[in-house]
Amino acid sequence: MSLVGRLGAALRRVDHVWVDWLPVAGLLALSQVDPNLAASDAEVPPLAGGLFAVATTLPLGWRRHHPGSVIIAITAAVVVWALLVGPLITFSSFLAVMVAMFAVGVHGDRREVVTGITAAALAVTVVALTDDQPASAFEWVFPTIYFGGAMLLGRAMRRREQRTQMLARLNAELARERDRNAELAAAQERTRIAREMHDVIAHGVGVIVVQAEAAEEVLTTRPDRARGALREIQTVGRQTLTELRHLLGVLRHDSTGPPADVQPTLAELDRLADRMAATGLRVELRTEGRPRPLPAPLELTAYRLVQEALTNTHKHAQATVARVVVRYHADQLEVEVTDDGGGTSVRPSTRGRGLIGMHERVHACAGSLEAGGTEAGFVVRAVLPTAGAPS
Amino acid sequence: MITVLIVDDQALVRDGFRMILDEQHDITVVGEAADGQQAIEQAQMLEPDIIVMDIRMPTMNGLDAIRHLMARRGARWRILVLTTFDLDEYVYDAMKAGASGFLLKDVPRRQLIEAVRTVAEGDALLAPAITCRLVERFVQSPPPTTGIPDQLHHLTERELDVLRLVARGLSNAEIADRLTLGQNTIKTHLGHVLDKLAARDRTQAVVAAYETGLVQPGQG
Repeated sequence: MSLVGRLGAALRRVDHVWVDWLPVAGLLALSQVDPNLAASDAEVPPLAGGLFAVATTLPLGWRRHHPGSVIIAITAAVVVWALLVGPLITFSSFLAVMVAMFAVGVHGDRREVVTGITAAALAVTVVALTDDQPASAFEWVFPTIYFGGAMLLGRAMRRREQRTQMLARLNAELARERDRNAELAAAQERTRIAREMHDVIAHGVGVIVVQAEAAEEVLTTRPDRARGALREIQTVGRQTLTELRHLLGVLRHDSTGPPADVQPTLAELDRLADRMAATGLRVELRTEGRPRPLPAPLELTAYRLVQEALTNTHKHAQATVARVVVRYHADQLEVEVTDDGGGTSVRPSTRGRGLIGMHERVHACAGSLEAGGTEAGFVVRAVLPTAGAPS
Repeated sequence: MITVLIVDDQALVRDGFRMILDEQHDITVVGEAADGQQAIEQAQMLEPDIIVMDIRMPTMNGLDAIRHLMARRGARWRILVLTTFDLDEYVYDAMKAGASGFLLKDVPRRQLIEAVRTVAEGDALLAPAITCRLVERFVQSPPPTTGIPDQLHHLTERELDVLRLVARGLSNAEIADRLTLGQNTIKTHLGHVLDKLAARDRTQAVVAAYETGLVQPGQG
């Protein structure tokens, strides 16, 4: 972050009341030891000098919310002083104008900027003209540089602040958009799964109902036909179940899996690790706790999770090794897949299609899933409650 | 003897319905078809009284087949649509195309048999409540008008009453009750309504009632 940025950030952190009033106090204090007044005409009563100091510094306390009014107040005091007393402007009042101009730059709208410029120009002019000596160029140029510079600096900080806020807003919006998209994709995936399941069920079960009705109708008059119908029911019933299993087990075309109609369990993780190693990704497999057989859908989900995570690592990360840990707890199964691909590895959103399917499946098992990048690499972690009794 | 043609892309469904219908003394299954194209060919060849047809099939689907079949001049057959989903938009289109009613595929066989007999008689509407729900869901009805829609101007007051209640899903008996008239009177009125609307059967009358705006969905 640049100096300006750091300055801005530091100022933001300080409590606003301090920011508002500390310069006032400081400048007031400064005004007391101001050499200008001391060297000025003895005619200037201390009270007037004090009033002038207050008039030029006190308004600064409101400069955040009313920068236009503040600059007017301060320059008015300067003008009055110049007209009544003389063109000797104290250092503290000079600083006060600087601070006020800076405030106009940071907090003021267009109108207030114009006001500030006008007021400052007016003050500079009056001070220069009330001088006994003919005005030199310096009396115009230097103030312009100082006061104009202060305002420009303020403006730059304002722009920076606005840009930062806009970026933050955009960021939040993008995050929301990404979440919405992820939800949409998840919903679409669910719909697709539901539709397929519906088709499979309606297809098969519809046939079963018709055949059962027919079987009962001709049970006594054509028992052999009835028996035939019952056999068909058995066949179609099994087919439907197989199709359902197939649907729940293989939701996407994946080439790294075992044959579709064999449902893998956690015991097959070894072979999966070997297959991944053959593609160039070293996989370290570790089991903790006491392994025990778990319900088939749970093991399948856990297997698929590891498979998906490893596939992602292989596809996206510059990882050399992936670690798979399977922890058997008393009432839950924990599966963790990490890689060393570095958190900044190019990775599609953590809710890419594959992981969305995973979320769905893990949720179907009443489990939870976390996936995200860390400094070291990507981490996928799921916790699946076990029903207690093995399958 | 009521002759039936069964059309469904699943052989076991055809087989099951065949077993059930053939077992009845007054019903004979004279043919089967596996898609819309075959349905048309078989129908033209066999001239069945009733065609029991699945609405969603590969090749020519049921809807196109229905339109084709009902467009044929002098066609005497009536079509009973089979569907897996009762709020299927296709079913509504099928009814508009001229189907006489519809059944869920997992219908108890008693209902299937009764449906075939009922439709063969051209009499009462099948499952009036379900049919009306379907019509209500999918009808593109015109905005509510005050008074009688133009297309129905030639119906008498009584006939309009009957038509309204038919559209609400009431059976003849219920309508007779409501209007405190005899069932035969209701039947006569309904016959006149069908003639005047050039509607093939009660189902078509229901469709007409909604489509002309005489009855609005949701008023039931």
